[in-house]
Amino acid sequence: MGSVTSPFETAMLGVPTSPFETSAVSESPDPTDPTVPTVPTHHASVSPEEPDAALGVELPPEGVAPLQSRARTGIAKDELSVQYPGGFAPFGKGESFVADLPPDPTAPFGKFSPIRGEALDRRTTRIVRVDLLFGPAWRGTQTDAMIATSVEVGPMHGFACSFHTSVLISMDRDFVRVVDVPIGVGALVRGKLRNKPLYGSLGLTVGILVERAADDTQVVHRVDPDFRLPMRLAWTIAGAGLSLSVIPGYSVRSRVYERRGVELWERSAYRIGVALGMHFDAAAGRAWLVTRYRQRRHGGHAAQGDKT
Amino acid sequence: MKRLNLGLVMVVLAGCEDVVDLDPLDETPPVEARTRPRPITGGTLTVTSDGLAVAADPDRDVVYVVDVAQRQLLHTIALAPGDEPGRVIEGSGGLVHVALRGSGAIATLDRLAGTVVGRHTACTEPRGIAYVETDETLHVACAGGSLVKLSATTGAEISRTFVEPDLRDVIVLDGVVHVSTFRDPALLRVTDDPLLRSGTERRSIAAGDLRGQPHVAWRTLVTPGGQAAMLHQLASTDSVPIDVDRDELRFSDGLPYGGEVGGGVECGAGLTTTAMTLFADGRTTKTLPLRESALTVDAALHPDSEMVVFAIPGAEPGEPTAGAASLDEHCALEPIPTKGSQVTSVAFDGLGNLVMFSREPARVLVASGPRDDDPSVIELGGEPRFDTGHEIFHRKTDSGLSCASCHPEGTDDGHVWNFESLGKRRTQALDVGLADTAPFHWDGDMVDLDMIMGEVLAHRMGGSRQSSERLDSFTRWMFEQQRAPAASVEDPVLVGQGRALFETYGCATCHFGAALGGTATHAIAGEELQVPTLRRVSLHPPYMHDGRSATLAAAVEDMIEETTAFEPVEADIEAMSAYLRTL
Repeated sequence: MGSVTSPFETAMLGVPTSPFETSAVSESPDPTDPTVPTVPTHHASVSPEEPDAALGVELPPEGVAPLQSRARTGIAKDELSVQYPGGFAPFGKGESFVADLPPDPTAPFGKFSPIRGEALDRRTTRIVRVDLLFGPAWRGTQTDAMIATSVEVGPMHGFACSFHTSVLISMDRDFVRVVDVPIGVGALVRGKLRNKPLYGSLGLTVGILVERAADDTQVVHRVDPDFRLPMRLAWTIAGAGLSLSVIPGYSVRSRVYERRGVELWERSAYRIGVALGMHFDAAAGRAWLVTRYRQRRHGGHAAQGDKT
Repeated sequence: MKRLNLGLVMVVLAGCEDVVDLDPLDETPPVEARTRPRPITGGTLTVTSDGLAVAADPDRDVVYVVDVAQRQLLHTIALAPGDEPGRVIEGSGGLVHVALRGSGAIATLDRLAGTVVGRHTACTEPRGIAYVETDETLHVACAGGSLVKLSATTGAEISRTFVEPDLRDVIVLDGVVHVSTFRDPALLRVTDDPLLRSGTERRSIAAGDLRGQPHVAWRTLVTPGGQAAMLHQLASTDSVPIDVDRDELRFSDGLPYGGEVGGGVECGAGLTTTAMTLFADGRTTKTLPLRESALTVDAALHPDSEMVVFAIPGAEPGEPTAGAASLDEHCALEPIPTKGSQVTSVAFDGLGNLVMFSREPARVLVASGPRDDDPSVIELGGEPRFDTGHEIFHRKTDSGLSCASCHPEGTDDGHVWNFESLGKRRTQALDVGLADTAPFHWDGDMVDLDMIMGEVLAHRMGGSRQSSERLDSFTRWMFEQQRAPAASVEDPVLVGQGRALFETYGCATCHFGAALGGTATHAIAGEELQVPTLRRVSLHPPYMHDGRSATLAAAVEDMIEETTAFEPVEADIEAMSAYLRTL
């Protein structure tokens, strides 16, 4: 096995970056040498359930994350020759957990890498998901058009944080033209559904709903507290996919617009939207929870240089 | 603690409905005149035979004398504060006579010298005045119903006759005195002298095919041909909605009190519009409604043509406040440039020059005729009398109406409206000291004037919503508009008996307090209704919420029958009526 450091990594990360990596890169151990441990020299990631210690690896005191570095190098599946003790594989049934994409320095998210397929560990890989959804929203008896977008940051499987905004355009525009813009932040829990590239998520966001109403003579603005309970099914292939969301919301105050004492437009404080659209995922490193786990596991040594 | 507060806020907000009223909001800072002006009462201008315009200014208690030909102010004649000078009539010997509505007197002025030469007591609220040259007498029509005849030279009272309440103008046709009535327009021909009620002949306006009932005769004139002409309003008799449907708002005047979907009358106007009726030989010859002229308070006839000029002080700011129309044309009205003036009086001189008097700013405008685009402006000086309350009360709304359309002279028009969901409701009087009579409206459903302004002015009439500061200013102005008691001349013994019977019959059970009513709501004939105040009650026929009692005596009888176990006795009714006429 030759060097596993990519030209990109060499240039960008300054390989070798640790004594461990230095030895892994600069030496070509003889597999027949009994002094050489049968330890994988690179890992895509480490599962909390499978700490490095279980593999007999002694981490250097600097806490370098050799496996993660490797993960970004994108070694081909057939280059791996890992032997796990007792046939144990960290990611299920011995499936490969290495991304099949070489790092791309021109990636739009900088160090983020677009995800292709299901190669990354969904529990430990932190992703940034951006989506754009369209659909109807109902508030009482009226139906509005909804355009929603959100950014989610967190592991593919587990808790993530979310920032969202959307635009609700009233279809009843005879007298008053109303546009609502809910903006909020919150958390969501995401999990894989069955053994397919299908994820479900349930979130709770808190924010504000800015309402703009215009008639022939004036523009009126109102701001209300806003809560959402977004539920989503996301089907992802190669870093992009389709999302179907059901988004109940509550903006506390119902609203009525009147002219000359006649009700022109009204909406309930409750709403529910159904939206379909696309999402785009990008890997953003290892999940924060995993990092914390490793910190605890290794007395804080692993933290240095491992906050990816 | 903060968390608790936030929780409370959320609980309070939860389930709240935020109603946003998109009616335009007027947030212009309010202005209150140092001496707050009275509601507009009509024309106060005359042009004498020697070409002098004599304009009475009821807001400043002065009379101006202007040389029309020279476009020059000659005199500003000061009267006593509160005199409220109104109608002006030319006398003989260079004199003019002015009815002082506030002080109940007639002032005689020397227009050439610019001096007051005499003041003579006449009656409470003298409205109209006429001079009869043959016997040098003045005939004064009083709001309370008296027609007073005075000597023009000495001011001595010659006769005093009660004709009927609510007299307005006095004119002389073929040497015979005629009196007009205000709320219920009619021309009363007084056939005998001394004047007796039995000697009057009532000539009402025959509305014919007009859509609307004649009411509020602002001015009665003598035409150049020697006939009578009356400027009055037409009031809707159709069913008037209180709300309109959403889709009806698409109409430009889609308002409950507007013309398209509401109970509007002729010429696309709202519930009221202005009309000019000509009489010939005591009969109505024609009635011509004017276009979009809800509050038109004075008129003048051109000496040589069919042209009539009108004072329209309720026009929107920036719009001309005078207009002209031909008596041959239906629904006509051409604006006359008034240069930012609020014209309340118009008159022609013998040469056809048009003279207009503006109350604010105080000025006289002189035009060579109704079609002169550039009238001369003669500034009269004096303190400003612009007042937000006064402005709101008179300004035209989208329906074409102003408050003063149905509450002329700051009181009521005596009209009974037919509201879709309420039934018949008589316009309520406003000059009774409103501060003591809340809640308002016949149903007592309006807790204060703010509510009325939102519901009636903005929603039904199509006016602007007012800022809280402007509403406060309006309320202060409105509450000041209380006129003195009617002070009818009655037999004091009869009045005393009537007061005692008022207590005996239990009338005071509901008609109590400073305003003798006005604050309580009671079920009467199965309907929850506000007990009306009895202040100035004799001046506000017809009676009851639906106007079913034409006279005060009928109203007393009605109330005895409806609310007591007594049988009405004619003598008691007469005594109580006498007492009520003094309130």
